[in-house]
Amino acid sequence: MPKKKKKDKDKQKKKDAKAKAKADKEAAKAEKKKEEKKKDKHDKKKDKHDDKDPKSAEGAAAAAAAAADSATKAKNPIDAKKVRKELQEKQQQYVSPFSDDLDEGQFGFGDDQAADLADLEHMLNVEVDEDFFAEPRYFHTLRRVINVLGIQLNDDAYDDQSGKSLLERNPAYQNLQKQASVVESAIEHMSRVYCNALNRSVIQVGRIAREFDDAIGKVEGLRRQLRVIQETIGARHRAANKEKLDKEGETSGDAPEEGQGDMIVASTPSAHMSLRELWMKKLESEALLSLIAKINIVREAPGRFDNLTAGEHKNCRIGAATLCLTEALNTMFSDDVSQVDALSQILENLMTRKGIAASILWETLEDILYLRTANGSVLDFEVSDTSTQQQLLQDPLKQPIDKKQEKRSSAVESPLVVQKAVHFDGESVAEDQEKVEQEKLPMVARRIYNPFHKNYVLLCVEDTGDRDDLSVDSQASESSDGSNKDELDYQENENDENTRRMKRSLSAESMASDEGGDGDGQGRRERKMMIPMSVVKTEVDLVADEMRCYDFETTQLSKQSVQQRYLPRYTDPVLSLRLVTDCLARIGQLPLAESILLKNVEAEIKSVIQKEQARTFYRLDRRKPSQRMRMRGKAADELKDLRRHFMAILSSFGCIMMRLSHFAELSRTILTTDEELSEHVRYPSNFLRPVLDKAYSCMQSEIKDFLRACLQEHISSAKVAQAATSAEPKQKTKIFSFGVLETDNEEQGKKGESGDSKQDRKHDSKQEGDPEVQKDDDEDLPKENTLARFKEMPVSTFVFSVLFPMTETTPQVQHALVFRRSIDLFTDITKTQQEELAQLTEETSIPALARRRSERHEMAIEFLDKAIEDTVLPKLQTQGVNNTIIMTEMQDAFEPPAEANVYARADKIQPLDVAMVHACEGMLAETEQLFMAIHRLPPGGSMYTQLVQILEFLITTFNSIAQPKVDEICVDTTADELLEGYGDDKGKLSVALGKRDAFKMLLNAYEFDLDLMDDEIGTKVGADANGKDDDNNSPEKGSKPKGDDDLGKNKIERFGATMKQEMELLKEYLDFLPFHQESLDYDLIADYELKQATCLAHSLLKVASIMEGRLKSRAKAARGTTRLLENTKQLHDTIKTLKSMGMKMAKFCHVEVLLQL
Amino acid sequence: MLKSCCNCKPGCALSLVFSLLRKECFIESYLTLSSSLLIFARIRRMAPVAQSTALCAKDAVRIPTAVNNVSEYITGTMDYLRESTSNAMAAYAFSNAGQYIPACLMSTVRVIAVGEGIIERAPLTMNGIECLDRSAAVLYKDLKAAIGFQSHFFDIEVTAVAFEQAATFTALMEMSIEELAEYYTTHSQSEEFSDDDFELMFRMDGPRRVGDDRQFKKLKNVIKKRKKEKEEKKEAADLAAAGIT
Repeated sequence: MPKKKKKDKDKQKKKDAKAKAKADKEAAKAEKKKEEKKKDKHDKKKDKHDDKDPKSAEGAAAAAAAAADSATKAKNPIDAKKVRKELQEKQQQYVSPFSDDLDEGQFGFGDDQAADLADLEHMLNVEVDEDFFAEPRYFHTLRRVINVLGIQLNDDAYDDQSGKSLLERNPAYQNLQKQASVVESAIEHMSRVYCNALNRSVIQVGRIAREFDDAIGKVEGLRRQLRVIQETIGARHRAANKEKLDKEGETSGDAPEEGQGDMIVASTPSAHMSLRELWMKKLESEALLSLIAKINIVREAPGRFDNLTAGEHKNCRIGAATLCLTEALNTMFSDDVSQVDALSQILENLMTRKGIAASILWETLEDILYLRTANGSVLDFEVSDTSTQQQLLQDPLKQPIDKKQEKRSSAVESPLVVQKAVHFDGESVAEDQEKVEQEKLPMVARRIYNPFHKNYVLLCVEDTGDRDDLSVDSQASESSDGSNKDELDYQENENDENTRRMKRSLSAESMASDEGGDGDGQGRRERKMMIPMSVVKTEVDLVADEMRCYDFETTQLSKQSVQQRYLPRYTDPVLSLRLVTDCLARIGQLPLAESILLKNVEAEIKSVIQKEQARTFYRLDRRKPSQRMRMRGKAADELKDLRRHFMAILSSFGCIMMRLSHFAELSRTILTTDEELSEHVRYPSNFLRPVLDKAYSCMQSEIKDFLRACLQEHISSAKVAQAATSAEPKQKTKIFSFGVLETDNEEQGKKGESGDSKQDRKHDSKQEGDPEVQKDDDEDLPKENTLARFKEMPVSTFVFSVLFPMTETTPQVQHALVFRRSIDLFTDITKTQQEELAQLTEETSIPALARRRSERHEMAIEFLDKAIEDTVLPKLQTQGVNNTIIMTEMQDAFEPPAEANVYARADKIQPLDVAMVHACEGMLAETEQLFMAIHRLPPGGSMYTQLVQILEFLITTFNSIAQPKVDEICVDTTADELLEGYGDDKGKLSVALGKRDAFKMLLNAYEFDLDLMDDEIGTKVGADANGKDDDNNSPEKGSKPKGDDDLGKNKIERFGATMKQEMELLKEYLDFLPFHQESLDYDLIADYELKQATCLAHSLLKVASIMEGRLKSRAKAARGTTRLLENTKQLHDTIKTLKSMGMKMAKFCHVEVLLQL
Repeated sequence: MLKSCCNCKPGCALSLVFSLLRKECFIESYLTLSSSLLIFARIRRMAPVAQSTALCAKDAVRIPTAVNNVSEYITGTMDYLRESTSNAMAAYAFSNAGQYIPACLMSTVRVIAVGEGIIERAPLTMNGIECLDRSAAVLYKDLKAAIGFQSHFFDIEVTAVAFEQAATFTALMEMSIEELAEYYTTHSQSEEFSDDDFELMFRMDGPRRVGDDRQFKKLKNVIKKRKKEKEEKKEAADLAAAGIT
């Protein structure tokens, strides 16, 4: 018992000591804190109320002293009551800083209130955890509160018999925790489900916070003013009172006491009166000043507008000008200014400027919509050779960036295109137009997906000149692969590294558009082409945003527009459209957009085509004779220029549709939100639909015209022939020889023969390579008038008389296949885009309109499909079958071709570049277009199935002709017997040869995918033998790692084992004993036959390889995975037969050579 | 006529000759026959090496004509094929020759060891063995030159090993019986050559030895015994190890 007591005592002592220490600590902390707080408060009070009644200062000091005393005394909790009393007493003397009636000397709080507050403060300081006593801005979550409470409870917690801690047994604590988890899950649910709503709320809260800040600023300003006035009044009255007192003092002989005057001032009611009067006066003055300021704004507005739009700097900053104008107009029509009659003249001026602004905006809008501006800019590098260009294209990050660009291209990651730009920009193209400009790539590589805007598929203002290797065709694949010829494939271009980089590059605009979730790098279908609504709804800063997208680099300014003003030029189409739309909305012109655009859309689209024609002509015309000769030799490049021209047109049309859709989206959003503007439009959600439809139908009809001209063989060939015969042979190579530039010829004719001879001389010397003359010749080209000459030229005329003659090709109905995929993609993308627009803007008219449109007009894709089905496929089928049969039945169809000397070829020449037998060459050529068609027709359709069947038939026919030729060489030879084998040895040698690395290397050289042909390596014969073989002799799989099988671990052992297998089969023929040799019956073939056999093996393997490649999906192949086209399994099997024939012939040649040794 | 004959098999050529003879076209039939005989003569170029007198030459080391023919065939055919087919295909046709030619050389050695071929008429000389050795070197060099342009198809390591094996086998002929016995004792486990090949060598009369078949049998028995003893020892050791555990 005594021990227990002792222990209890000790415990008690310890507890007391702990409590004391804790109390000391807390007291020390509280003291420190209080001192700091009082200091802060005191400083603040000092700042704010220096000029106030000295009483208040005394009071504050007293309160501070009292607080300090109380803090020191609060160390002992027993004295708390005493302290409170003292505090109450001292606080009676304390003047609250929040008291308004300072003059009257009233306290801010009552006695009771002050006492309560002091109590509260003390309680907070001493009893509550200091963690709560922090700045209110440090918000503590419920979780934090629970944790703090938990820690506090844990200090005294001990484990009882149940083993549960105090916290676990505390139901209130548990409830609190449950509540916290419920709250957290609710918050999580809210943040997930109502993400958008929360975002919106955040925006609203931000706005409110901004307004609140403004209000605070205003209140502060007012208080400051009040203080100034107070000071002023106080000083005056003090002076007046002083004078008065002086006078009284003089009369009475007493000197006035200090501070008395102030007291008088403070207490005199006349001071209040004068303050009110002055306040009113001040308000009056302010109103007057504001009126003057408004009049100033209105007065200066026309001048500022002119300066911004037509200043000497030549930069038309229409955004800033519109802002200024609308501000002035709003001021003008405000209640106070509108009544001033003297401003009527200014009003007239403003209205004139409004008209000018509207004209500029309409023209700028058309410039943007029809690709005359906002196309970004293009970098120029002096690149000497093609290899460097390739390198630069491949590694654009390493390209040099000029200084100017470096300054402003923080948003641009890398320049992507290396090219020189030549402008055909309207009538006022300067003389030095030929000089290549330094421009940049599209500054804004938008994350808003634009499939038409490629870094090397240019829009309307740039040209790649002669650098064809940088064009869309630069991605051209092997000449042998017909299916890979359409370089205009968008999907392929998507895979291009540069394009991907371009898409990755950001700008401020694109950053904003991230909200739309379009930058996730997923497939095309998931990417958004329209501007995200969150971006659309954000405000546009007409001044700053205009500067962001203004094109300062372009030295060549666009046409002079309204009253000698230069039109603005931009780099970013989206931002510039937003600017213009906002400006139009501000001046109330937006509802007119539909009618104004509807008027010009057709003419503008035609002008775009004409520009493309002019550019194509210029490019073809600039091509040097040597290049033409080079082009002539390549069959694959025949349609390159044609495709390029067509692609340029499609690209332009796509971009126009894209910009029109963006404009429609922006306009609809503004019209639906702005009540004033929406009154003028009947259906804001369908706004600009007629414009979009008209533009689209115009594009479709233009595309059809182009296609019609390219496909009509009879008429066009006659016209081309006429064009060719009408010109002299000498003039054919000249630039004005196609009747395009007749006026120029006439002028030249007037100059006489001397001019002609001069031109001839130049031409001759140019051919000789005289650089100076060449330069002069280039300068003489009348480029400034090129566009004018194409102004009235319809598409069909251009195609007949310029495009085909200059590219030295003829119109053919088969060209339909070349254009089909591009048009299909164009149609598909445009449709998706319109659907997206309709979805975003809640458009209702699109399904009905689309139906009506399809009923009225035939789409280009439908026209093309009809042509393919009715004409192209039957023609190709007949042509293919007939020609293949003719080629295979020729006398030398399977004879080795007469090749150049072997030493003329490089040692490392690729097998696919070596010539084949005529039959194979012919078959490959005939199936080329059919294979090309397979990639361009919609898979699964009737045309597609028909085409696959045609191909299957063709290849089967060829196989049936080639098989007898193979048999003719092989049958009844020892090598063939060995390969075939008899009895148990059937096919064993073939399998053994298939296991050889050399055989796999051969197949690799022919670009066969070994992973896909495991079963084929042993050939069919070998595969039969596999079934009979035991496990040890099973054929090695092509992709199987070496050394895993029974053939040995290292290479030499493996080779030795393979050789052993082969030797067993060739044992008979390796026995050189004379009597044995005499008994053997050798049937070997002659050298010539061996040559024929190897050539046939090569030809069959090459044909099979190329055809297999053509059957693969290109898009998939680009991503690294190979996949066959749909519904082509049987066709693939037919090609496999061809391949197995080739492999058999190769093995036959191998065995034959061994036997002849 | 000759061309048409060349395109056919030798059998076909003969039938053509008979048909010409039946038609009494004697000159043409003579030409066809001679060309077809030429074809027959060209086959199996390595086989006649065993018949070469160079193997019995006492005065000098000469390369057999057949070996020169093979070299010529390799280079000539390679160029000929490359005219009309791809380099890869031509190289593939000759890809196994690197292992096949040494096998032919070894076969020739076996023929000599058996005592067939030119050996029937005259004894094998050291020059003859040297000439076989040099033939291997010549063929290796020519083959490498011919297929080397497509280095993927010519595995230099495997080819070198195969030729080295052939050279070793040829060198067995010039050893004395003691040297051969020692070699057999040391290399019997290596599976480089079969027991049949060693037996053939022991039986053969070479320039430095007289064939002794019995010695081979003795050695074989000794080696067998040793092998057996080793195996027994190993088994015993294994059993002892198992007993302990």
